[in-house]
Amino acid sequence: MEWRETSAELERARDEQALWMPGPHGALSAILTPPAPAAPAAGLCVLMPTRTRWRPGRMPVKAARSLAARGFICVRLDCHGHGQSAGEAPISGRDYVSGEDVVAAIRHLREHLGFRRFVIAGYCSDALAGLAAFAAEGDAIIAFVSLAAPVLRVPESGWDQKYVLDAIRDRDKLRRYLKFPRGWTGKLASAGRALARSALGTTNRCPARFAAGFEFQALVRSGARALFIFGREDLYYWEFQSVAHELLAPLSPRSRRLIEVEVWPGRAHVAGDVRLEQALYERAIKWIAALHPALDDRFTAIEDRSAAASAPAASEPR
Amino acid sequence: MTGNAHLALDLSEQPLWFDSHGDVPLYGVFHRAHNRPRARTVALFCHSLGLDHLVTWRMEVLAARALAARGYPAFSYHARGHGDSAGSFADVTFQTLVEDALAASEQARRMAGASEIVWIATRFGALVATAALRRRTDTAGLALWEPVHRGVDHFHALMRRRLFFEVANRYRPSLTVDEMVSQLAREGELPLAAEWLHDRLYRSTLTADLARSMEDWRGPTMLAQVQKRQAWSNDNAALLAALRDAGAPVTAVAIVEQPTWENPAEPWWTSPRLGEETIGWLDGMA
Repeated sequence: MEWRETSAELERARDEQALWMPGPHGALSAILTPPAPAAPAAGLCVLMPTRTRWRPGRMPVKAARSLAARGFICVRLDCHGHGQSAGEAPISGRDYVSGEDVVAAIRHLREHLGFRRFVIAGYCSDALAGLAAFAAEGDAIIAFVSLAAPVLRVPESGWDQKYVLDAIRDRDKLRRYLKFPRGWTGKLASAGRALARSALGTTNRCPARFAAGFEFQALVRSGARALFIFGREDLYYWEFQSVAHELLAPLSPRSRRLIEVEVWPGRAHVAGDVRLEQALYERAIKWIAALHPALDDRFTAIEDRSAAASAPAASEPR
Repeated sequence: MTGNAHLALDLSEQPLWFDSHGDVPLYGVFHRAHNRPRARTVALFCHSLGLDHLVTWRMEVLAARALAARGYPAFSYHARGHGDSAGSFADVTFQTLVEDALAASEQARRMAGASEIVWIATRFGALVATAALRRRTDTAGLALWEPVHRGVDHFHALMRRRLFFEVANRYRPSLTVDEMVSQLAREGELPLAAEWLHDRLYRSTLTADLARSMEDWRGPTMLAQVQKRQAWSNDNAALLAALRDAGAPVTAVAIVEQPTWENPAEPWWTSPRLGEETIGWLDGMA
């Protein structure tokens, strides 16, 4: 069922304000949703970088108003070249994301509106734009939500000999390929290249392997909490699996507890699947809402990163 | 007005909220004319629905800026349940779309201090704009960007698009178009590719027809066909002929291009030529 606006969300809509912020490619356009005056203030600004502020399915609009009704400040940002922001539209994806726009927005919101602590949430490449901001502004970001985002720069770089051989032995996977053979020539070529070269393995730490903006180490250094959502059948999840050990194994128990990875059955990334996109944002709203200091017993002092360090283990996948 | 822009870097572009019927705050953007303001008219953009709205919003923004730079004030808005406006899409009907267009026209005229409106309507917005302008006497011109000719055709095309979407994404297509219509009536809503469809909206647009809506229209008209084909579509050709027969001054523009109407993964499209042709048409009217 498509989301319906609640009266509390309508009230937040009434208070929204347009913002113009200087960005590296010209003025950035954003909408600020102030927190409900009657709600206990969360003291957190939820910043959502988007390529058009209501994509997908007006869910960033719903999320902003829903969270603002619970005491969060929310800002949905048009990345440059999109919506009303200045600049040429880049082709965002694995090679380029608009992380500098997110950094510019954080700095503007801090300097001009006094916002100090941020939660960044994004879908697909927009999540990578948010993750990219950790390199420059990690200290200001206390939490991050990645909804179905790519991990590797070249998808097939996650395919090594073992991956291909495992896939060939996986009858379910083979059956799916035969049933829906879209792109099979490309996949066959990728598999051939993976089998021909020596195993890429998980020891290759060349950061160029990762999608643009995938600043995972900066995220870890920041001490921020993070939620990554993948679908079990997503290419993005296969990418994540191929580097999961490399990313997660070196983490201290404290850092590991701060990174939640939810793996949904089926797929989580199908651009245009309105039910799936709505479910992703509803999960993000719930997760972010739980960061509210008044609600989260585990993180009563979000300002105090050491308090976060004593948090219990990450939640189980859905 | 229920809210104001602040921190605007460029004061010529003013985002704002204004009330429509039923006290629903709608998002709008007023583009003040630069240089030599032609204050008599204001250009009002009337958007399409769902994925179309997303695909063409940037084009509207760029065209409004170009118009303002040329001396024409311009106004864009989001109808209720759309974009940054308030409201649920489930509550949208053809009547509310027309009400919101009328509220936007009042807001546009007030902000520009204009006495006339030039409607620039995109896709489904053509049906809305022509229904709205029948209730006004201040329309100076009408530009139609790749207009939808019949509401029912549009929604059935969206249902067919869902079938393509399902195949392309390795979903098993589960319903025919007829079955989708039945499901819509039974359940009240239907997920499509990158948008929902609600029975209230579907039923309220069953009789929406562009040619019938324009039967009495004799004003300056621009029709821009944006399609991959070179030839005029039957509907566009018939509309052009009817307008010419009725004595309306008509400018026909064919842009041979396929916008990403059907690609939810890259839902952005702009056409410098469409903007230039629209400005040229407005200049010709002045």
